[in-house]
Amino acid sequence: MASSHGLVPFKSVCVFVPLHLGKVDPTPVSLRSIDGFGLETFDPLKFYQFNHHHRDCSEAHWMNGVMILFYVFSFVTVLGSLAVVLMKNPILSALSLVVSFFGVAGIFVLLHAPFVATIQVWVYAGAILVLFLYVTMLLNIGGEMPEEKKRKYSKFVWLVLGLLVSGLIFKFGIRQWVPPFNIEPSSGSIESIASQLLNPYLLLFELISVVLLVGILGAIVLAKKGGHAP
Amino acid sequence: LIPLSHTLTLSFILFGIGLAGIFTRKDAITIFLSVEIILNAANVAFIGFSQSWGDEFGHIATFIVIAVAAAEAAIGLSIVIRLSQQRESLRVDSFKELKG
Repeated sequence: MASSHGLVPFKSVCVFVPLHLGKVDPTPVSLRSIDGFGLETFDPLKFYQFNHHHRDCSEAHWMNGVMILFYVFSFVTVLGSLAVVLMKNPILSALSLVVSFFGVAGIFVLLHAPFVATIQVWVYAGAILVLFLYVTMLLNIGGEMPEEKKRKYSKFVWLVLGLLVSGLIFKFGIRQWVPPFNIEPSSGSIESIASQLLNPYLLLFELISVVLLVGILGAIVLAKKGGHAP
Repeated sequence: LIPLSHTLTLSFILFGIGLAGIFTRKDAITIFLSVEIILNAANVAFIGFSQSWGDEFGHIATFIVIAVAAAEAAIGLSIVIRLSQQRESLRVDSFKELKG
């Protein structure tokens, strides 16, 4: 009882003996005889303090990394969205919207939603934006793309830059400065989303498929050559 | 955990940018892109609340929003194609009459 609080009874006087073993304080334990009185007790208070402090430190680092990444992705997203609005050329607008969508996908990953981030990249940046680009190019309303200036070393410079970036990524790795995300299996994983989507929200799920079907049919009917516009 | 205020701030900024795009641009396609930005702002808010409250519904709502956005893009772009067949110009203020 007493020793659990770091107090060692000695001649009916309680003496606080802050002795401990381990990485905290690597001072060597003095020699004693085999049958002597063991003093080095587990110090819960010190251990707690150390552990608490250590965990706080690592958590602060983790938070810092995540927050920095959040700001970077937010910057990319806002910049891409501004470019969408400010660009004159609709094709360039659509391409900057891809940048914005990738930033949003990164933010989704930081917010523990990996499945939604994947869907964002696949469906939004992959499918919807390609549709936009196709229509823009088919209608030829993009105007002329700006003429590419002749630059002598342009390709060489970009090649060197790409190799440099990939080499840096290979050398230092992403894992070293991005702390590992400890995503609990019950938050945002595909399993939990699927079980939620197919149990309580099954009607919603089916309604989505109906909406998509109607959308596809409506698009075909509307865009049909020579068809009657409803 | 990222604080909810940060996520909501980003969502509001995106929403404002999209709204400004809708009101300032005359191009039908760019207006569609601005609508997509607004939908994305809603998605960010959904996921932020979902993380902050520990509720999974935000993910499902985002899923639904993405699906609806896909349907909306398909139908909207086919309408744009029809309009371009009729008018040659895609400026929104040239469409003053509903009857084509």
